[in-house]
Amino acid sequence: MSAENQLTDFTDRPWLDPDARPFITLQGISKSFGSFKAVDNIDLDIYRGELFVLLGGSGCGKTTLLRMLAGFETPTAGTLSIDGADMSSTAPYERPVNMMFQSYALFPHMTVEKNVAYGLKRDGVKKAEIKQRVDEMLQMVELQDFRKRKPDQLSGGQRQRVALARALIKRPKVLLLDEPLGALDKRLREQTQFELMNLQDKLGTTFIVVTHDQEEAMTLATRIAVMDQGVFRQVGTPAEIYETPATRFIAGFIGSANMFDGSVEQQRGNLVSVRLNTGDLVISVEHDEPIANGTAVTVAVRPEKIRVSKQQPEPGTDNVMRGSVKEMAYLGRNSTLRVAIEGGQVLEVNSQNRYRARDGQHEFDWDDQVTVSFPPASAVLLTA
Amino acid sequence: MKGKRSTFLITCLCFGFAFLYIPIFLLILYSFNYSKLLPVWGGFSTRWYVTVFQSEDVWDATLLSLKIALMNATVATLLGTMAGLMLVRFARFRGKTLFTGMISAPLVMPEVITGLSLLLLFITLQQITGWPGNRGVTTITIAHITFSMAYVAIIIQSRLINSDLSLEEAALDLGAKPFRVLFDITLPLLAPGMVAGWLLAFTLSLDDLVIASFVSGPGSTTLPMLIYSRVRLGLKPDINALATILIVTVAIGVLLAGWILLRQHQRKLKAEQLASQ
Repeated sequence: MSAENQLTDFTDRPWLDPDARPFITLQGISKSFGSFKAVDNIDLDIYRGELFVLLGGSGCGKTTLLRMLAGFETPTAGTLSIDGADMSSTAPYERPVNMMFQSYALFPHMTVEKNVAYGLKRDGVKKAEIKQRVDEMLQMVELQDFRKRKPDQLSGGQRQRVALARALIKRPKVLLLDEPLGALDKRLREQTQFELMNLQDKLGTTFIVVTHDQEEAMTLATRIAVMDQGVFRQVGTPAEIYETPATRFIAGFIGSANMFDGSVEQQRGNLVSVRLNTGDLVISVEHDEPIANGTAVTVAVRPEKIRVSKQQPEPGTDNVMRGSVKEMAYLGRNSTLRVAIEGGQVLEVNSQNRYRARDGQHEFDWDDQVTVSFPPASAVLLTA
Repeated sequence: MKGKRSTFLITCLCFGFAFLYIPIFLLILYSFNYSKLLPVWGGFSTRWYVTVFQSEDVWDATLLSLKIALMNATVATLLGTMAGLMLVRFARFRGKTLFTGMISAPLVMPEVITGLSLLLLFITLQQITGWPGNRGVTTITIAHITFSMAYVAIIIQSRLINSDLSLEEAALDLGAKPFRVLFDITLPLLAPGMVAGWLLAFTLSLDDLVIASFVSGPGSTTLPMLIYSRVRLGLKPDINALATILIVTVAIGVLLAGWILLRQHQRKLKAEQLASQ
């Protein structure tokens, strides 16, 4: 995609378009339980057709925010609108929103068919139409043969699909999903992730997903909001959040990162030299904004962006450090090494296993003397 | 411990069961005694059963007891379910803890006190409003409802606390108004608890002697009251026969309930098997 195109084509990235009208708007939303602030003054715009992920640890307020969107909690302050209509005090049964619960919340006394039909029945849709739409929906989630079963006669994956069908049958403007894949095992989860994405693509419904699983968030999301203690720490595309984390917290929360603490020695163009607090080391980092000398900063580098080698690097290589392998975990596709560098800091480094290891001989092993290096463009300078 | 069981434990078991069941066994045995004198064995006979079935008093008392138990169980289940629902599902309100404590008070209140206080209430009411004109079925039923309702409320409460709130939220989310949710989701899921509560209220009412004695009037004798008054006049073998009939009825009921539970359990196991295929 050319640079010019990137500036004008907003179809996949409506949040960059200054003229786009947000579909869901939260303004100054807060929710307190007694003196505890679960959600603290949040502003957010979500656009039509997005698959927006709220990511955070337990107790960060992500579920409370989702429940406010569904209408199960009333915000203590702030306003909330969906498709231009104010929803702040609308009851859950009157919102154009449906939710898929973490526990799936399938009605145990109803068959699959009745569970899926429930929403339409409450809306007073005609019997023939209900039947036809339920058939279509069951076909879509491939549960036609299970229509007469009760929820306790289904496996975990089947229950998940019933819950999804039930939440989608009313064709909501927004679908809320609370840890949609949490109860599935790893293989099924990966498979279902892609099914969910395909479905969202096909229907064009706006999805808002709550999860604590960062890998899930990275796979699913058009945009992620990282939440902590009731506020958003960063909102952006998965790549933005991974490659240019805004703070140390984000860098450490999403994936793993090696952090070097130091202070700015000088800035030349977009290259900043940082003198580390430990050891006699100066590393250079790309950074576009001007930064004053002496500012305390952190340099974050992802493990897979560090090169590790037993050979001396070619002269002129940036950010070379010598160290020894303290720990090694062989993961098949790659290995994770912990390398202690001069000054005592231990770095996490990923090394691709490009050659077959035989007779237990790995490319790197305990106590090997190695050099690690990374180009200035691979590191991020963080001031917060 | 494998193989050789402790003699001490077996002895304990035997004593325990003997303590529980010898009196009942004796009672059943003597109901088949021909002799009119209780401690004298005069040979096997069913003559006392014939006497019981021919006694109009016994029939009247049994029907009265059943009538009261049925009404009591139904009303107590309704009221108790409402109270239980409110205690669990309503948001916190002023005095909720006090109310929760108070609903279980009738469980620990001595029956004599409950009976006496209800009697006083009925007398006062009669003086002020002229109702109830005379004490009988109505007053006994009301008295039974007051205490058995508490049992139902507690059963419902415990079922609700363990139930998944998100089921009701899911129904709301799908467009059902709160009242609709109650009938579509909450009550069907509570049904087993309500059945258990109904059965408990029914047996509590059939069983009660003390409270009924306080609030009953002339001409309204329940079965327990009848048995008690007859025994006071001297033990007669026909009472043994009546008691045996009651025991057999209860035993059949317990076995039936156990069989239904077992079937449910088996069906559930089968369902799980089906799901894992």
